[in-house]
Amino acid sequence: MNENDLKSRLDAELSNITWSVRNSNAVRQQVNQGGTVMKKKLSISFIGVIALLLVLAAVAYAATEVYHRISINWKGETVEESEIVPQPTAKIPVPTEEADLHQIAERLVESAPEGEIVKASYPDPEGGQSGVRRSFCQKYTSWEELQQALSKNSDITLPAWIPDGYHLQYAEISFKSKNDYHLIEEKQEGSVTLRRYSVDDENKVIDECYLLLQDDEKHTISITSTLSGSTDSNNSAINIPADNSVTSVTVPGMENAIAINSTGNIGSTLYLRRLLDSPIKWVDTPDMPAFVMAYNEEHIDIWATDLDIETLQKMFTPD
Amino acid sequence: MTDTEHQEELEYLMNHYGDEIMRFCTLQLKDTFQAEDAAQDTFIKAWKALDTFRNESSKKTWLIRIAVNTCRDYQRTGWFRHMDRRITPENLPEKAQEVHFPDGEVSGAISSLPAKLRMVILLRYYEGFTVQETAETAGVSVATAKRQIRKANQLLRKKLEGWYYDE
Repeated sequence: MNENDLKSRLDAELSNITWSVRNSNAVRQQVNQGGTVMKKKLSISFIGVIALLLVLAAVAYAATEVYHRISINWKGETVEESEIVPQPTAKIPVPTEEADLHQIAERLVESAPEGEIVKASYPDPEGGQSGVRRSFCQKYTSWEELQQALSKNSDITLPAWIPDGYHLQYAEISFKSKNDYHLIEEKQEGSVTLRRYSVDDENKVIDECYLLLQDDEKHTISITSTLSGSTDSNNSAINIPADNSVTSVTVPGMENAIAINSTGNIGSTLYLRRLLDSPIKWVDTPDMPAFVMAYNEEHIDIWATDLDIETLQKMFTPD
Repeated sequence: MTDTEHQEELEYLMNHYGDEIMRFCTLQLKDTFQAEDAAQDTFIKAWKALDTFRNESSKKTWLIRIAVNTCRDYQRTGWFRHMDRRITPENLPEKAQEVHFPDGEVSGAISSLPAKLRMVILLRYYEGFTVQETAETAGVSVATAKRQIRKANQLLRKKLEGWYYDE
């Protein structure tokens, strides 16, 4: 192989991956608004985390206008330090090509029933495909129902104990398939194609569980358990402001546990990493490249507004 | 540079390098939706930094360096951990019998490389960077870049046996 072989081969294999007019529009729009990309796939848990980070960034760095950050691995070691200096912005007009198609796609996805994987795609002028998708998840407001749903699953760790006064406010479990997907419906509205998929119960792979626990005074505990393919504790676990620090702690059954020591009163954060007993294989929907992938470990992010790290550790320490 | 010149330059960069940045981000992040976000972020960062571009490197090299850093940031986020993927060796595509492969084999093999090796092999062979440029962009020494390229070549040779040969 030489570089020409590889480049021509990769370009051929990836010919359906193109920079669309919608991408150009998104860049123009974000530049116009100050230059932050709106992520397409934000679960509620990450919206919460991002909101927290935004508040932190605004409070801590408004005075200096420089965002210093450090990247921490699962051992609690700093693997990189960097800084971001906000840049001045300018006004750029935003064309509206493809906006109608995108709106149709969003409407179609929104109107599909819950509990399905839904994708709406449309061709862009360069010959590629753009679209909107919604993941497959089930929602719970009862702790008993959630426990029942996870009773046969040993890959996602639920808290062994919940502090007095707290109750489940909301939970969401996301799935993928370990084998295949059933096409429930494929329909066309103009040039937008809607595809709805289901997964047989025996093929379901739970890959994320989000829990929101609250007490009567709205004190909050947020727990996000996600399965991951990585297998290296040297990998970056989290980016944090440079004036924060981390402490490695011990939680039984977990390979790594790191606690964030933050400046200011922003609650407590604990990150856990657990190796799975065996890899959990999964595949993506049929419209995506047919790779078989595997999860090898579980990562648990726990954030609480009014509890200390020791209490969070206890929550994940079996009797 | 005036606002109009900024806008014209941004349009030029997106028109000329959009596809390549999208594909680079897709191979690096192994997720088309994440890649779309990262590619958009790359052009926004480039737009912000246009005044600092001094023609010491080509525009493409400069953009790729921004894309590399952007992909790194995405790989460190919690969401990416959720989306992180690894192809297990036993699930790689069947070895082809001749120098003609089904769609996705080479990209699949490259996607299965560890992130650091994937980065250097893409910079060296897909983007056509020199070893020196690859090292600078990946943030490693030339010796480390050479070692990583050699290791990536060894792994790719196993996965793409039958048509792979050394330069």
